[in-house]
Amino acid sequence: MQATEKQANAIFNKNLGSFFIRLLLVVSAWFVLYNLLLKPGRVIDRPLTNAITAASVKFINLLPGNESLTWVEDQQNENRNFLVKEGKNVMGIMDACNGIDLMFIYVGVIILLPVSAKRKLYFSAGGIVAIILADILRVASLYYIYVYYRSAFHFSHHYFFTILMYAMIFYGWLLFIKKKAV
Amino acid sequence: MGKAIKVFSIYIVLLLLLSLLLSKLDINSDFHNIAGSIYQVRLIVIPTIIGGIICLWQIIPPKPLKLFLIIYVGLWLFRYLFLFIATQVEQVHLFGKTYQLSLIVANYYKTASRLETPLPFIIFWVIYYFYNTIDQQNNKPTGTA
Repeated sequence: MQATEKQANAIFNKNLGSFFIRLLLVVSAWFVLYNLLLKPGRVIDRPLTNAITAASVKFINLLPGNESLTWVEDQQNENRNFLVKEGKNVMGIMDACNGIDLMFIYVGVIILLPVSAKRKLYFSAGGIVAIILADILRVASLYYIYVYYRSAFHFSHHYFFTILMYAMIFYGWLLFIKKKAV
Repeated sequence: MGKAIKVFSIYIVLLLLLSLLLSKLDINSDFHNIAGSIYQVRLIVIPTIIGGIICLWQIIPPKPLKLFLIIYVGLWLFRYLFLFIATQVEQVHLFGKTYQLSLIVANYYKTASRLETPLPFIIFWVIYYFYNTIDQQNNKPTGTA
């Protein structure tokens, strides 16, 4: 009995410790790769930010009263787009808002867990799509908050939607590990 | 798993309410002088950390909680150590390019390592639950004589 307990504790510590070391290494490697190779040329950021901006504008225009909303890339600050209404820049969408770092953290945890490749692929792809859709809804909601209830913008931008995104990621991981721990 | 979902849901709802309250009172951040450098600290970080530790205390045994606290405190200490070193070094010249080390380290902690968010608590519980379930399944009797 004592030996079994000892073994269980040893397995637990080894697995958990090794997981966090690997997670730290993967996240750090991603950070270096992203900042040195991908970020300067906006290899991923530009298409992703543009896609999220364009989809958000389409979504907002589906709702009554906003048919004229368009968007442009900021010519001065290259990593930003603007939502434009009646020729005026209303709200900026930065590359930092496209959720790429959250996608990586979400996928990073999934790929490091010892589960079948098929399940990892399924949940990674599903999670990325869910994060992008949530980001589109977030941008559209922030636009309305910015236009109609600006005093709540700071709270909504920095806290409310950020915490909701974390809650969504948590739910994604829960589904991933539920009934499929081996 | 049910208890953990409940505990984390309450934690997230309370964080949302508290951040709304702090926002209404307009006391979002505070500035601290640490080792000669001024750091902006968002006040919501304090309830995030305390709440996260309470959550883990509710749903995992003392031993893994102790392990988490050692790792978590260690990572915070490393964070301020790296920030301090980066602020002192300022610039690094590598392969003909100049890198602002203080900006790079600050950016790393903002994007890659999110210590001040609920994520470390959530990730730790997910991983603990995952490996604990494996462990239980491995130690389960097979039913054969």
